[in-house]
Formats: sequence, C-alpha cells, structure tokens
Amino acid sequence: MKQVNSILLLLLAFATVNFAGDDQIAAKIAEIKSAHEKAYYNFSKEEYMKIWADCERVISIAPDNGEAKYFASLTAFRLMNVGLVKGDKSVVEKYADAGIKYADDIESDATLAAESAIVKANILMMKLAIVPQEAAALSGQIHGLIGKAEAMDPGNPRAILTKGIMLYNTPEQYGGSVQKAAELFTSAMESFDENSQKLIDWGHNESMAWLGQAYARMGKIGKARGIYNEALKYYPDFGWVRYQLLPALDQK
Amino acid sequence: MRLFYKFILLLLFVTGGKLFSQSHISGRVTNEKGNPLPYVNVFIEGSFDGDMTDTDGKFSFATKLTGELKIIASMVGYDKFVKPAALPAELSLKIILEQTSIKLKETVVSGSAYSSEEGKGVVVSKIDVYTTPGGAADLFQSIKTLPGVTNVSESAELYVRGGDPIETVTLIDQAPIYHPYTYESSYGGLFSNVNTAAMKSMFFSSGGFSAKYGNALSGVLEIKTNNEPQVQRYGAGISMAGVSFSAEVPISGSKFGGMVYGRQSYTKPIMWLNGSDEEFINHPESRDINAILSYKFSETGRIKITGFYSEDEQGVKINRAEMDGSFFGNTNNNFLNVIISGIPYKNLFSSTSISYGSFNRDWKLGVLDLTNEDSAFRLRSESEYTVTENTKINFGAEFENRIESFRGKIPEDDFNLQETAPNIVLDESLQFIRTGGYAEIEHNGIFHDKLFVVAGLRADYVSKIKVGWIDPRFSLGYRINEKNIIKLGAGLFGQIPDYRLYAVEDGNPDLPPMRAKHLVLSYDRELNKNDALRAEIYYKDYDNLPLEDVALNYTGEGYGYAYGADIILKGILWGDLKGWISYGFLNSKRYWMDYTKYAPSDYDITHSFTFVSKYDIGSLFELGVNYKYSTGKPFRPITGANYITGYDVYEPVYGAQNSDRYPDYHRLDMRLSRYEQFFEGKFTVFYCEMMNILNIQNIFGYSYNSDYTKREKVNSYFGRRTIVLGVEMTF
Repeated sequence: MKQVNSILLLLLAFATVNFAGDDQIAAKIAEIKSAHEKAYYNFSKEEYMKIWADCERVISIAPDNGEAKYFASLTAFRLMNVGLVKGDKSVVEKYADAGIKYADDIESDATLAAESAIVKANILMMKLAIVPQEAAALSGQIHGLIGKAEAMDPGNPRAILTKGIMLYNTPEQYGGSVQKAAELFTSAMESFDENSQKLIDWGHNESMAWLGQAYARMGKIGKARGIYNEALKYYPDFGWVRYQLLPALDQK
Repeated sequence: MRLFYKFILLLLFVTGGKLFSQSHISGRVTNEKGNPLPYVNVFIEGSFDGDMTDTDGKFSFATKLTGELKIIASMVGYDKFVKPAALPAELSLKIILEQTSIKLKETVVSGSAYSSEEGKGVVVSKIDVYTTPGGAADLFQSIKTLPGVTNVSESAELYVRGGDPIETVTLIDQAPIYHPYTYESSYGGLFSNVNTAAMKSMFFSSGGFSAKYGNALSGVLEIKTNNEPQVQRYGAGISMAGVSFSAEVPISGSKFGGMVYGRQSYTKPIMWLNGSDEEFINHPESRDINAILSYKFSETGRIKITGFYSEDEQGVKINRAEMDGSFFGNTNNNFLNVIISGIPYKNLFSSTSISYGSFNRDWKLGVLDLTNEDSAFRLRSESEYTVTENTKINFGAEFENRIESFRGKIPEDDFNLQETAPNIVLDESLQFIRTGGYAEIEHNGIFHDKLFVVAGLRADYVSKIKVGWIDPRFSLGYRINEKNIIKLGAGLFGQIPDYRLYAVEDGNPDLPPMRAKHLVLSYDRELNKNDALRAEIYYKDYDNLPLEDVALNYTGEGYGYAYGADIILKGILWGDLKGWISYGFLNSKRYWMDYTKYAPSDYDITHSFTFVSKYDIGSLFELGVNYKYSTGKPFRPITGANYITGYDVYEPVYGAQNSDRYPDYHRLDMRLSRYEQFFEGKFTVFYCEMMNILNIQNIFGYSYNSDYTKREKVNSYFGRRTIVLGVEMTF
C-alpha cells in the first residue's frame, strides 16, 4: 500500500511539472499583467514582444482563455504605439490585424467585451495615425466602439479616456475639442477605482498625461505642470511625463 | 529506516528522473534570405517552455517535458513553424520562417494613377470627394478636378486626355458598369449613380494602365465598395437638392454586416431659389439605392453581394430650329454583383465576381422616340501571386455577354426633329460576347535595385465580329531616391466602338475594334506623407476609329492623336491652406464619326486649370474653394441654311470641322461648412454650397432660330449662380 502511495506521489510530482494547470495559467496571466506595467514605463519593444510570446503560449495551452487574448490585443496596441513613435511602420501594420483578431475573438465574452472594444478602438486610432486618408471610415468605427463599450460598461474610465484622446486628436472642424477632451481626461482619472483595475490595470497614469497635454495646448501651463508633477508622485517611473512632456513644457 | 530509503529513492527518482529527462533545444531562426529574425517566439506547444530569439535569431531553452511534442516558432507576419519532436533529446534547429503573404515592396507601378489608397499614386481620399466644392460629393465630379480629365462639359462623364467618355471603363468590385450616371442625355449624365458613401476606395488611371483592364482606350476607374461595418451607424441628409440616408449594421459580430445607402434628388427647390433658363414639364428627379452584404468568412476570405438600383426622369420644353416641342427622358439602372475573394493558396490572392446589370432609357423628342436597353452578364476573375518580395505575377480572365437593343424611331436628318419628319424605324438587338485574359509580371530591382518593371499582355476576342486582339503593355520605373520616381509607360489598347454603330439598319456590323497606342513619361515627387507633385507628358495615337461612310454607314478608317502634359500639386499649398492645383495642356485631332476632315477633336481643350482648397476659418467653420478654367470646346459653326420645302424646315450649312470654339470656361464654387456635435461622436454638418458664385454664363452650345440667321447661347447646367443649403448628420 505504501508502495502504491509512493508511486501516486511520484505521478503527482510529474503531473505538476509537465502540464500547466489552471493555477499556473492564472499565475502567468498575473505575470503578464505586471509585465505590462513595466513595459509601459520602459517603452520597450523587447518587453512587449516577451509579453506577446507569453500570451501566445497561454493561448496554446488554453485556446479559450479570454484574458490571454485580451492581453495579446492590448500588447498589439502597445507595440503599435512603440512602432509609431520609433518610426517602425511595419510593426504598426502587422500588429493592427493581429490585435484586432484577438479583440474580435473575445467580443462575445461578457466580462471582456467592453475592454475588448476599447482596445480595438485604440488600435484603430493607431491605424488612423498612419492612414489619415481613411479618417472618415476609421473615426466612425472608433466612435462606434467607444459607444459600444460605454453601453456595456457605463463609466468605464478607459472608455472615457479613449474618447478624450479621440477628441484631442480630431481637428476642431471635424468635432474635436481640447476643452471637452480635458473634461473627459479629468472624468476618466476620477472614475478609476479598485473595481475598474481589478482585471485590467491601465489608463490612470495616461489620463493624467493626456490631461496635462490638454492643459498645455489650452495655454494653462501651470495646470499642466501641476498634473504632470502629480502623475510623477503616483508613478515615479513615468518616463513619458518625466523625459518628454515636462521638458516640452519647459520649452514653452 | 526503510521509510527513509524510500524517501531518498523517491527524491532521487523524481529529481533524477527530471534531470535525466531534461532536453535542451537551441538553434537559430532566419527568414528565407537567411537574415536572422529577432523576437520569434520558439516554444513547446501547450506549455510555457520556450525562448524568444535574440538579435542574431538565436534561441536556447531547456524543458523537462517528454514524449511526442511539437516545437513551434511563431512571429506575426510569418507562417507558423511546427516541428514534431520526440523528447527528451538534444536538438539544434535551423528554422526558416516564411512570410505569411509576401508583400511586394511598395512602389507606384501605374503611370497616371490616382487612388484613395496609400501607395497607389496620388491620393484622392473619400473626404476629398465629400468636400470638393461644387462636386455635390460626387466621385466623378471630383475626378474631373484632376489633370488629364478635360472639362468638355459639366456632365459627370470622364473625358480623358482627348478621349471620348466611352473610352473610360468604370468597374465596381471588378465588374464593369456602363451607365454609371443619372440624367443621361445627349449632353451626358450629370452626376454618378454610385453613392460615394458606399465606396471604400477608388483607383483612377488616365493612361498607360495595367493589362488587367481591357476594352478601354483611355482610362479606368475602379471602385471598391465598403466591407462589413464594424459598428452600427446611421446617417441622414437633407438639402435643397434632395434627401439621403444610410445605415451600416453589423449583423453577426465584426464578420458579417449589411449597408444600405439611398438618395432622392429633386430640382424644384433649387430652381425656385436660383431660377432656371429652362421650362420644365417634369422637373428632373432621380433616386438610387445601393445595398451591400459582406461576410468575412476567414482571415483573408470575404464574400460580398452588392446591389444598385437607380432611376430618373425629366421633361423639358425645347424651342430650337430643329423643332419646337418637348423632350422627355427617363432611365433606370440595375446592377447586382457577387464577389468572393481570398487566399486559396499561399501568396496567391484571388477574387472572382459574377454580375448582372441592366439599363433602360427612353428618349422622346418630336420624331425621336427611342428605347435603349442594355444588359450584361459578366464573370471576372483576378489573381495575384507574390513570388518574392520583389516579384509578383498577376493574371486573370473575363467573360461578358452584353445585349444592347434599340427600338423606336430616329430622325433621318438631325436638323429635322418634327413629329412628321422622315425617320428610320429601329428594332435591333445586338449581342456581343467578349472573352479576355491577361498575364502580367511586376518586378523590382531589374538590372539595378532602383529599377522596376511591369510587363503584361492581354488578349480579347469578340464573337459578334469574330475579331480578337492582343495588347502588350509595359512600364519601367526608376526610383531616384525614396521621394522621387521617374516612370515610362507604353502599350496597346483596344476597344469595341459604341455598339449602336453595329446596327444593320444604319451602322456596320463589321466595324473593327478601335486601337490606341499610349506613351507616358511621368515624374513623381513625394513631398511628405500625403503631399505629392506629379508631372507627366503623354502621346496617344488612335487607329480604326469609326468614320461615317456613304456606302457602308461606318468604316473603321478613322484615326487621330492626342498629346499633352499634366501637372498636379496636392497637399499643403500655403501655410494652413490644403488642397490641390492642377494644370493640363492638350492637343488632340481626329478624323472620325461625322468629321469631314482631320480636325481638332471635340475634346481638344487646350488648357485646363483647377484649384481646390479648404481652409479652416475657425469657430468650427470650414471654407472650400474650387476654381476651374478651361479653353472653350471646339465646335463646327453654322454658316448658312437651305430651305427644305416639303417639311418647312431649314437645313444648316456647316463651316469647317471644329473651326470655332465656345468662350473659355470659368467657374468658381465655394462651400461653407459648419461642423457640430449635438451628440458625442455624432457629427452634424451644415453647409452652404455656392456653385458658379461669380455668375459666369458658361455655355454648352448655341440654339438657332428656324432659318439659322440668329443664334443664342445655351447656358450650361450651372450657367447661373446656384446656391444649395443642406445638413447631414450621423447618429
């Protein structure tokens, strides 16, 4: 009997080593979530590529894992952002389709549908940046996706933030408004609470950075500086604010 | 003690077993050219075990997994690499990843190309179409602001580089459509019946185009309709010229959706506000509806059904030397197309369409009482096979069965249209079956890495006249640097003349296909992302044009030429001023149709100048300006008249062929728009469109008194200042 127990123990040991269980997947998802935060501050393509690789591996183990697909689409959006800033257009094009595909895969998942629509809207905004001639079609889609997210999850701070970014970047004659964008960034900042960051944890720092930019564009330099400094108190590693936005403000 | 041994044994077994079964997998990942690929995700399927390649494409990882497993190498944009492996093992792999679908290096291969898609010539976006003042958001009217499209009349018809409008083919989702206009009259159609809102992209070429396009002598306009909508969106508009609506609805997620676009136009309110030179019995009205169902059945595959319907009618009093009476006209147009596209095999993109279109037009003016029916069934398939990132092969085939019938009466002499005038009774149905095919190769880096070439051959055969023809086409480009390209294009182009000329009664069933030779030299300079400068010179030589003949009605002995230069600057013109400036010079002569000698063609508009600009004037207002100038159109003057006793009518005596010209054409259109957002993200645009704001009386002809001793100017469609107010909203 003792021998049987030993063998069972042995098998159990092997089982835990050889096959990724739900706990390991959950741990990996948590790791991906935390890696996202670091990669954002480091603005690192390499780190995002590692996250992308992790997401792919989780999906290969659990093809129906919505969270992995969500993070894959979020990673695609971030990679596009890095590509856009660093002038790597091919990354923007490649990851747009890949990110949208994963976002579409989870559009019927009740817990992720709103977030998926938000990420998809952000991916399309990146696309709009490289093909402005498709503005008419893309902006309609982006507004539609934001509306969809708001309907599914009223008060979602990332939906408010995304709407603000869209308004900030849209020329005034086509309905853009820095003033309204600033109001939305403020509202987004105030809407972040524990619940909104339970599953996903992005957007609060960006809301502050965008609000600062909106203030700066309106000529409210003091207010812009204030919000940037506040952002750095919360997020000391926020390189975008520390090394780009604040110095840009100093030159004004 | 036994327990202790057991424990040790177990520990050894577990750890030792793991140690002994550990595999080490390493290697390098490259692309097809042997270049290392960084950031490739190499891992064991169904596990976290793996590594990401470094800048040298190298990877290395250990795994304790055992058994028959799969090693995956994955990277976006490349085909997934899968290798079965029996573990434990020490593996050193050389992995080559192939691009999922090789994209040809971005280059502009078509001369004279304007497109709404980046990388396919000078970009004319959908928003350009919507905001071109005086264009009524009409694609064809917007294209007329480009160089190479001459302003022969104010109609929407495209007169390309000295060519007749029938020499430019319009394709919708790769199916030809022959009557894309509303209010077709002898002056041409006024607007397009293709709703710009239903359009996803367009490609327009004014010469030297690909072998893909057949049965067109001068130009190609290819329109692609919208794909499945991603979000629900509705739109509505009302103006003094009509009402419109649109609905875009996803039916099943983001993969399947439907779209409907409708318009009803009316002219009474505009004429009430602006007045009219004409006395209408039925004020012109038109309506059209475009409906699309699109289903994306796989990552690259899509099936789309597009249906168009349009109709219009008008009735106007005519008081001319030829007759004193009324003209009635009405048309209706149907079009249904099914297109399926996708990648059936790696790097091979194919699309096949089946379409049916029918057109019916009734004209009644005195003795003229003619019904024209035109129906066509078409099957067309196009494929692109990307061999390497520098080489692509295009090939395809098409079949068309077109039947055109003419029934009714036409006047024997065009100077006598009275009810009792001598006439010819027509009851003719003409069937043309055309089959065609093409093959083309695009190659970058021929002889030199900055040289690119496109060489193609197409063949067409028309069963009706038992005639086939082969068109070789060629284009060579040299990329001076990233921003500057020089291109040379040449080729043969064939097309069947107007089918009406094949009628047994008053035509010639044996007319040969018309032929043209194109030679185009162009220079493109990319100023920045969407700003461009293009200059082109061209020569076009025509043969086998239809020419009136006393014995045979028509022969194919006509000929002609056109040469000229076009230049366009598009983008930021000055400060915040955006738009485009274009200029075209043209010299064109023909001896064809009823010409009595070799003379400047009807389309010989020597100088064409267009300035289109938009300016944000603040407070959500935008002002658009569209100024056009063109040399007056040539015409054959009437120098006298002879009285025909039996019919109490005068027969005009004409001077030399096209020896006179109408006055030069000037027109300034403006559009003031105000954008509002009554609901977040939903736009409402109020606009005031002011056409011919300087009230310049442009003309498109002269009318004469009964004995041709006096003539009066006939004002063009917009020969007087016309103001249209409207609002459009999305919700």
